[in-house]
Amino acid sequence: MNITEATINQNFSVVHPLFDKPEKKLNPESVGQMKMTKSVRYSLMVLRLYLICMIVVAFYRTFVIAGILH
Amino acid sequence: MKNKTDILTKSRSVKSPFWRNVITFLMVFGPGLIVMEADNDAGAVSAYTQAGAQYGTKLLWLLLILLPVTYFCQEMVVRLGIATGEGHAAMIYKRFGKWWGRFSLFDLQLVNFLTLITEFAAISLALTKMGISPYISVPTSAVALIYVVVSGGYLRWERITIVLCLLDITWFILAFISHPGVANVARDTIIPSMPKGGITSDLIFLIVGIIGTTIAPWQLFFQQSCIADKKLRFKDLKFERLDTFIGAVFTVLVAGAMMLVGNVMYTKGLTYEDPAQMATVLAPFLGTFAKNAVLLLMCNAAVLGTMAISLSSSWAYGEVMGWDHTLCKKVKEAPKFYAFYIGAIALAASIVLIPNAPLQAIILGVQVLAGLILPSAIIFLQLLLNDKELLGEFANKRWNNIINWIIIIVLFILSVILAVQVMLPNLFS
Repeated sequence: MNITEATINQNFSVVHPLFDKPEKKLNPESVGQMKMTKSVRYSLMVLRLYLICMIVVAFYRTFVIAGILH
Repeated sequence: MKNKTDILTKSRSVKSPFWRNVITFLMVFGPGLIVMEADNDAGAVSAYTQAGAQYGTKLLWLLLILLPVTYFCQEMVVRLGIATGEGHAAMIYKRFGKWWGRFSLFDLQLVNFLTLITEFAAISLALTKMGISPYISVPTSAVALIYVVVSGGYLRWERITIVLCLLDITWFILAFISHPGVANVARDTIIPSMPKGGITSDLIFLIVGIIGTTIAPWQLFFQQSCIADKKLRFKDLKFERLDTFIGAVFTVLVAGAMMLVGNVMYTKGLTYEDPAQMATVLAPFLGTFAKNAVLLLMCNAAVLGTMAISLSSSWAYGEVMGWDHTLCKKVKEAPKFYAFYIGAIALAASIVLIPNAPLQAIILGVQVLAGLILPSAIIFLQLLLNDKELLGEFANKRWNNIINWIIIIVLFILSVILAVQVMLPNLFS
């Protein structure tokens, strides 16, 4: 059988992901928690500040609507 | 060996690499379309039709900008989901610790639950206009939503949901019969312009609402969990990217069609209240078909949204609590996962049926909370995708980071604008 015949006769198997053999994935537990590099630390700090400010704003607006503040 | 097994379920042999790619794509197709189109939920129908009714075609350009933004966000989720096989909530918990994990889970559950209430409120509103009592429409839809998920396994659920997504093609028919003027549509899509009246607080609120509805936090959690549940493989990455891209384009086109339907209100000088009222008012101009189609499409949007949002909550909770959390298992095998899903739907539906329930306050609350948590959800996603220690070649490239940080900065600015507008409502009027 020459190469062309082998190519023509070649079958490609297609398997649905749900029925395929399980793959080895990247495991977050093997590396533990994220390293607190400068960028990670600053990002989380900015996020904390942002959330605190937004919660204060939300409470302020709620108190205004409820008539507790004017 | 059986070659004629169910084409899109188990496996088959094909003769060429082309057909291998086509069949693999069709097997992988689903999570991307569903996450994008489910985002055109009841809140989105309201936002887009309102945008069209109040500003005509002047905000179409916003959708063109949101298309790559929503694709980039979801593409990161695809990479993370395929690389780790874990859901988003699980990743935040494992990489950032208990405090951030619980915070992310708590605010996701809160926003999702409030959104569920608005979805059932929309079903109630739409079907009331068709003469069906909320005491029939809401429980019936809740039971149907529960049945679809608990009764058949992942593949059956996915196929039914894809069909529901494709029903939104009807919006294109409605946009076509509204005769919007191709030249205006093309110009306003490509060239950003401000509506008449310039920048007002209403316009800013609406733009923030549109952005918040197009890039919703639950989408990040949903698609990653769905990919993990479907067990997508590394070799499926390019197909899932294509699935996500197709979903993004379809969703933006449907959103544009919704704006064009709302545009009829604008051109006729009619006052807009909500999509159900719009459907009734447009009947004399577009016909009874259009009225019924809008009302039923509102229901379809709410059903899709409810299903996706509830599943994102159940998956996230199951991931963090360590329960079995997969649609591939029956109720008896994953009881807590299904119980959470059923409980959320039942409770949300019940609240809508309470007489004088503060639905308008809940709708406003959802908008505010979504604006609060979207930047935090995106920041976690960005940090996770830059985790070279874990992800290696799947981590973000430099150009990914440039685009993503621009998106994050813009979202923060918009959230601050929203906050300022809340504190100083007269600033933009």
